Amino acid sequence: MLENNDLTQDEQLYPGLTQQLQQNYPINQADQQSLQRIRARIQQAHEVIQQNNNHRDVYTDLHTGQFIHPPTRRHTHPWLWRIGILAALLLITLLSSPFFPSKFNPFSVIGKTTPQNPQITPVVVKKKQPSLIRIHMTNSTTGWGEATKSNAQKIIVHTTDGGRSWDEARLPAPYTSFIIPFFLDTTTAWVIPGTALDVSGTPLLRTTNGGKSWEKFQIPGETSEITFVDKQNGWAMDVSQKGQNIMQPEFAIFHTTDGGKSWKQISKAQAGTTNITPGPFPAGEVGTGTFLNRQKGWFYRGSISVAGHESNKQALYITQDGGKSWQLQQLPLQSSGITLVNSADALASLSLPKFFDAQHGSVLVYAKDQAKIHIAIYNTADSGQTWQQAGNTFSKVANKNVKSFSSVALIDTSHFILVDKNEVGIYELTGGQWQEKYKTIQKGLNSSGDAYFIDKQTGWLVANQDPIVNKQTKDQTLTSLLYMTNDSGKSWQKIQQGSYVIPASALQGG
Amino acid sequence: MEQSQQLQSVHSGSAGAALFERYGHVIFVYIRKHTLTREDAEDIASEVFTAALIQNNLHNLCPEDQLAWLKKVTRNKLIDNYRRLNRHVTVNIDLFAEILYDNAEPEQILAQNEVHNQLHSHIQQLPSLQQQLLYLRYVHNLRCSEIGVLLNKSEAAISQLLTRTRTVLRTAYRRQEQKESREC
Repeated sequence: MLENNDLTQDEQLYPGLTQQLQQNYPINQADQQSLQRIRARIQQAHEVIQQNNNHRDVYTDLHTGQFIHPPTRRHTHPWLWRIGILAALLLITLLSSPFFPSKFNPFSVIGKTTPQNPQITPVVVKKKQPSLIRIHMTNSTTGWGEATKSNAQKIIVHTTDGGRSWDEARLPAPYTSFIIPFFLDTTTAWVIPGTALDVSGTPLLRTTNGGKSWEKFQIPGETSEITFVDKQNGWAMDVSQKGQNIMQPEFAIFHTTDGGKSWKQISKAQAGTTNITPGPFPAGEVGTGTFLNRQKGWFYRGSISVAGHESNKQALYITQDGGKSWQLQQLPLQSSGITLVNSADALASLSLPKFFDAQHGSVLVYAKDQAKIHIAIYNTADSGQTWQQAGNTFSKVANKNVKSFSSVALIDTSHFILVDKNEVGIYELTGGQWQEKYKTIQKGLNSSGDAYFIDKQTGWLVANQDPIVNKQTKDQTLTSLLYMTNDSGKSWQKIQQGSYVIPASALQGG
Repeated sequence: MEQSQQLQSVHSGSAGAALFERYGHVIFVYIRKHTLTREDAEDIASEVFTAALIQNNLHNLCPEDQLAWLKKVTRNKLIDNYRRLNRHVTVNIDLFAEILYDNAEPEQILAQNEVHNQLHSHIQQLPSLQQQLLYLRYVHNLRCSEIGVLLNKSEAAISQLLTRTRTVLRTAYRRQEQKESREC
């Protein structure tokens, strides 16, 4: 309740109107129940933190800038959150994401190491490994990953042995575990620590030695979107500035030419622009982007159907002057029969372009309705100036739950991988038709996380087992598995597994 | 040292609980607007406020900066959630303005009686920013400075806008009454 010294003069003069306004909004019972559940979980989290604090071990991580994650699992199906995330990572494991940049990178030095295609020998899985969420391999031996270390504590990890073992790249204190990474090459990465206690700008951490040490910079304004094409040139997108009129948010795009030390605004968003011709950065929604080189890049906008609300149509915007101006780039979607508008009965998604060399790349369009998965792939041979659908629109019967996604990833312009629960399929474009090339069943999996190929032969797949419940303690153990193939997906071998335990006490909240 | 850490934990814990009581509803409604299910919203809200429990220095900030921190963490958590779901599915989550008054659940804005019907009708005719302002002020009982954090405006601007909005409502009431008295 507002106190007297918080009231405006008008409110003090006309208390009747204030009372009527307060009564105008009835209490939403469903929200109140949700708040009760959240309150119980926070209380439970507080108790767990205090217990851990008494044992001191929790602060081992706090000291390094990590924190023990809340007991966020729901009472009824506490493991669903985890499964939901990883099964859903699913969706489009678009290798073209800004977080998993294209293998082709004309400015990268370290990242162009030639893959060695090592033999996959019988693996003795190492103990005490992190539970992987997604990975980004820069060659056949070296790569980065996002992982869960303990009780949903999110960390950055690094491998130098092809994924068999992963070491934590510890972030400097006082940053906590919610992190947004961008991995460039074997040694260089940037991380936005999402819960940093800093509201005046966006802290940005950079490592140039594989995570051994980190430098701290700052992006002016708030953003969670960064992408780089080399060690120096990067973009921060959808940067909002403090003090804006929220009804007309003035998002902007910033550019750095010194690896993130300093940032310069290069384009300011304008609401209502159609961008049929090159113009200002399109305003209104948070999106992601990727760059092919210092001049040409793409930015994605779109939205998902939330809480029954109609969503906006998804679209790609292209820049050819380093981000100064942007133009709507239409794909010939009519040929696919897929509509990029989400609804309560269907979800659709459009990927950012992924390039396999300077000219050739693909965009993946994914849709799922109550009956089938539909996939259409558009290829370019002119560095993204024009796009044509490759072959037919691929359709496959899948889980009827529309919200249950599958993992799809591009391998090259004529191959993609589709992982649906424990079924791993490689699909090839032959004679204008997408056809299944290999299919393997990985027993014991309940969901797939992320698939990542560095070339046509060599790829990795992150997947998850069913949670194991300790009958006595009721603690739950969640395990991720990392598979590798070096025969284009014909066979897969498990090379790593990582687990973490959610204590029963953390599962009882709510 | 150990005792100091424990004291800090207790302090940050109680501060985190207080933050939830103060801002839990507005943050939850915001999250709810941008998640597929209520359960997802509860998960994310729990994560946000549990993160607050662990931020040892959060209680040293002024309320406005605490709210700004919550807003920022909430935004990042939502973006992370979308990335998990689909890296390229995005949502307009920077506009707090759209969230509150426009609640999907119909019982949210049911008028209680004729007076409220009139008031509701007048409110509906206001620009969305002013509707949003009223909601934050009279449902969530936020101070002008706190509303300013959420709407990216200064405290003075919010205070002025609030006074203008209330004046508009009173004027509309008076006109309505005059019209009704003429009709009688």
